[in-house]
Amino acid sequence: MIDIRDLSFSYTKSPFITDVTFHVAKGEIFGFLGPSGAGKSTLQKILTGQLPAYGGSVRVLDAEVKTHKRDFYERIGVDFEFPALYDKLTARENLQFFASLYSVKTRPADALLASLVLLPDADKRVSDYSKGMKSRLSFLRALVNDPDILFLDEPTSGLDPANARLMKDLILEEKANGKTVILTTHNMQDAQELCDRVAFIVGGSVKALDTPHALIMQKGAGVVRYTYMEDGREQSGACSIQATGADALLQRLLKAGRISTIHSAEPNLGDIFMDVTGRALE
Amino acid sequence: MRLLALLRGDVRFQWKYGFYFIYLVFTLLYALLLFAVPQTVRRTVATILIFTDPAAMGLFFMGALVLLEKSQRVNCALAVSPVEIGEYILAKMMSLAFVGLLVGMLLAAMGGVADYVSCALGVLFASFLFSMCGLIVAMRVATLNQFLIFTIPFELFICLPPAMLLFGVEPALLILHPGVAAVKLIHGGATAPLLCVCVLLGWCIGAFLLCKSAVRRNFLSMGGVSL
Repeated sequence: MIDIRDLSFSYTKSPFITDVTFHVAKGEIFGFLGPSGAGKSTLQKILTGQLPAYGGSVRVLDAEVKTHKRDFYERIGVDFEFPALYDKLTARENLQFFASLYSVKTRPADALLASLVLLPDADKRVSDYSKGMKSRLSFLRALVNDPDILFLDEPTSGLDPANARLMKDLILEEKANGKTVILTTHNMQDAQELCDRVAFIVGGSVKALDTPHALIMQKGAGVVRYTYMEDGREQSGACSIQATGADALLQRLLKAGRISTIHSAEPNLGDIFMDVTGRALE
Repeated sequence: MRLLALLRGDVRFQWKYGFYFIYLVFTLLYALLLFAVPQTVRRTVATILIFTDPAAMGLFFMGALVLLEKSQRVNCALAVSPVEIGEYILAKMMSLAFVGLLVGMLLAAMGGVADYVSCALGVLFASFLFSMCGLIVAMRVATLNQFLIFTIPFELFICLPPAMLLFGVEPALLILHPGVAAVKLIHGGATAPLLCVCVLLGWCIGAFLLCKSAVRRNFLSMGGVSL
């Protein structure tokens, strides 16, 4: 579906994206994870044909992106970090207008609006929408042409937890329908929850690429933390999951029934990102 | 079909932002002015009004249209849609020409302009040309103030030579100037109307190519790079 080989790109004379190579399969949710300015959005813009002056090869939907025709856009959907909508038009009018620009079969506006609970406000002008409502509508705009590949830039940014959940469920639904999703984010929870694979992008290059689970596991398993009472005060202990049998204190406390609390804690993608790149995500 | 959809979208956009209301008010004011001037100069005044306003509206309104689109990031969405650059330009040109033509012909009727076909051609070509100049500038600027400043050279280039006609200055080669050719068609009774049409067609084709380049650069700059 997407095949990138030896990609390089520069805004100035000094290189910005260097030696990026990876493949994204059909039906996969692939995440670009990295801090601001790392090159995630630039990568997305190269994939969507907006930055054709790149080096190497970038094939999307079996065609080299730099030589694509406009009908390339019949098969992809792009949601930007900030809403791109006509303020004076209603939500329904916006979706109907953008749908009218495609020659492929489009999705009905009302069904799209209903999927993110915007149908009751379908006839409200976008200028009267809240920031979160605009984000949801802008996301729906990217779906009007029922695209094979969906490019999403920080889709849950600015959304409350309930609406972020709705949005994430809809992304997973798209995946279930066989769509490929490219997710650009610095939100490691979103990436961990949604992505089949993630690429850590720092300084314009890929520092690590794997499934979130494999990335987490390759840096060592989780830790078991426990608390117990001793001399009238709560004490705590920790050991790696593999070492629970060898932790004499833990064994002794378990046998004596003196454990107050016990739980395992795995590192998250943010921890792994920090470990691999030496940089924080946010 | 996509061109029609874009055209409908642009007309609706202009309607929602009150462009048509503004033009209704201006048309009424111009009508009053035409009835106020003596019959002997009415046709000349009508020609000046039609050329400098309904025909030239594209230059000013295009700035408003594109800057509004930019502020709402709609051009980002259009840049990743199947819309062809030519379609984008044509839709904007045609939507403004439609109002320009409507108002221009009303003023022509009130001003006693004799040749409606010639006048309509003059208004259309002038509107296209002004609109494309406006679009070229609007694609490169970020604010309305910048737009107003950078359109001044275009205004002077298109409007000054026709002004020479008012003073009876008319070198033979002046007919090759787009503003002069348009004014002659609008006023009617041009000695070589076909030549005027060919001149305007030539200028419009040149402007269209420049316009395509400006819009392409703007669409690519959505990707954050200046080419």
